[in-house]
Amino acid sequence: MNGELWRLSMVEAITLIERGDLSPSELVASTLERLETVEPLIHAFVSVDGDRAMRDAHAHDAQRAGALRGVPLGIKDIFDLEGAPTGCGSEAMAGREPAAKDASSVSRLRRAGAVILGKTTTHELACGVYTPPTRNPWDLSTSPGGSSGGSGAAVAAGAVLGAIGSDTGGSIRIPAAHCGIVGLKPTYGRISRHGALALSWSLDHVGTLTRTVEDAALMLSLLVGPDQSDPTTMNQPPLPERLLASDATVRGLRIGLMGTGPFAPVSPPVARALELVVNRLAAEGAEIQDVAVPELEHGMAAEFAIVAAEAASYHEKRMQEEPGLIGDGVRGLLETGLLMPASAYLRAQRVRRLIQNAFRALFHAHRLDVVVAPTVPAGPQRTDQEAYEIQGISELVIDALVRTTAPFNLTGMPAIAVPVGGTGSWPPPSVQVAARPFDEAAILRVALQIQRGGGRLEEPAAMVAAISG
Amino acid sequence: MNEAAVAAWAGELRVSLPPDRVAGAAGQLTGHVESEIARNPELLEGVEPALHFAPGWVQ
Repeated sequence: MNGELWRLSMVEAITLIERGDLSPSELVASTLERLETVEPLIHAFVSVDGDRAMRDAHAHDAQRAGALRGVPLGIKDIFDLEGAPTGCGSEAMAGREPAAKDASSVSRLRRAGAVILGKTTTHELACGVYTPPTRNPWDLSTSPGGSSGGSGAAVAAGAVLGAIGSDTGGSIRIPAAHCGIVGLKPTYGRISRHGALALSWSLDHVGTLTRTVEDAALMLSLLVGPDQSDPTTMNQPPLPERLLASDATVRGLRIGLMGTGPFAPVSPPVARALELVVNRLAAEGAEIQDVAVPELEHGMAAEFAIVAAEAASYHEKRMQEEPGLIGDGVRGLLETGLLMPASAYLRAQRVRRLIQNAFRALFHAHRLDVVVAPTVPAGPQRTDQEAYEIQGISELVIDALVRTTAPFNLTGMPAIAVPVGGTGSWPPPSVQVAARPFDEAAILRVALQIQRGGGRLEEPAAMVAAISG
Repeated sequence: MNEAAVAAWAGELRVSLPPDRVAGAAGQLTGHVESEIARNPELLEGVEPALHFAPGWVQ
């Protein structure tokens, strides 16, 4: 089969392979070719093992086994990949021995038939929203976001069909929004964190970056499940048998619109996208109501206190031995965490429970199925941009991006970022959908409807210009 | 927070904090220790810390 196979979604590629119209080795070879074309522009990978990828793909040609059928994926460089060092974007991790075995999530993907092309960049120690040196495929002067910025850029540019990332305060949903793709952070404890760098044990979530909602559902279904190596995964209910029905509608769903508190202000394109989504969902029969959680006023302080304390504990030895190897921004957070009184950490965890209780009460009181909110308040920042100016208010980029995403890390609720096509803005603005813990089916159902309204995602503008020009 | 006190506290805890980083750490600690909720502890009356993920939500 000829053509630009990298443009296929995972589900489309698998369908072609199952029909015998495409072989895994053709798909992987085409994707590797695309990767080689775009990588000098976006710098999304720390390592690529094309030889192994092609060997694995040829093995899938023969076997045609596993749900993924040889689909090529990327892995954020905080997850262990057998035979490769886990660099975590930090000088402090340089020179580590190659990992002896795959992280649990990587292992599940391989067993399901994934071919791993390489490891994608991360902001240092998974703690930041820029991910240097990676560039945004929509505009090479801007950042892909972070910390899973390499995964976001690689998926958007077509260098892989999907990728995994981690999300402690928005690190999957922020790059998904900046790169115009789908980012899924499932419920806390849905996917094993074993074999991945920790940033904050109680806030870290493993999730996916894909080009479509259907691909997100597929990856989720293959990644979830109990793992003895990660106790937080042991008490989860199974996913529904039909996680995402292609004929699912939003008719009759009760949707809360969150547009105040940390979800405001937003830039005019994001506000228009949110309005467009609400109108589309209402036209499809959903019942929309404005809702708010006033307790989120204290959310940002709680998020940063918890991350600082837990990250400082995780990296304590590193901070004793070689603090100078850690970049200024992350080092500052770790220093604060090491000096913070225990009472400040526990206060933050009490605030978190307050917020969790408030969301639970909100869902009960309004009989909500999901809430919808802007994923991030504004489009991608330039790589050297420190602050946004949004509706006349100046705000640090990290504060602006995390204030809209972190609420769902604090609550552990599943949340999905979806690009809103048809707005005329590029990359398309993103909205997020969140639901009760373990109700990923609800957010996927609403996200699918949002995706349907926007049409197929286009090739990022900077890729088109650079490659064809 | 008093920068000299933060430097001394870091010394007691054997946390490496060079002089040029004391002001930054003091500023961040001030934010955490003197947050609005720290000044109004009654807002957390009866609320236990979320040390374990216990969603307890009825579907």
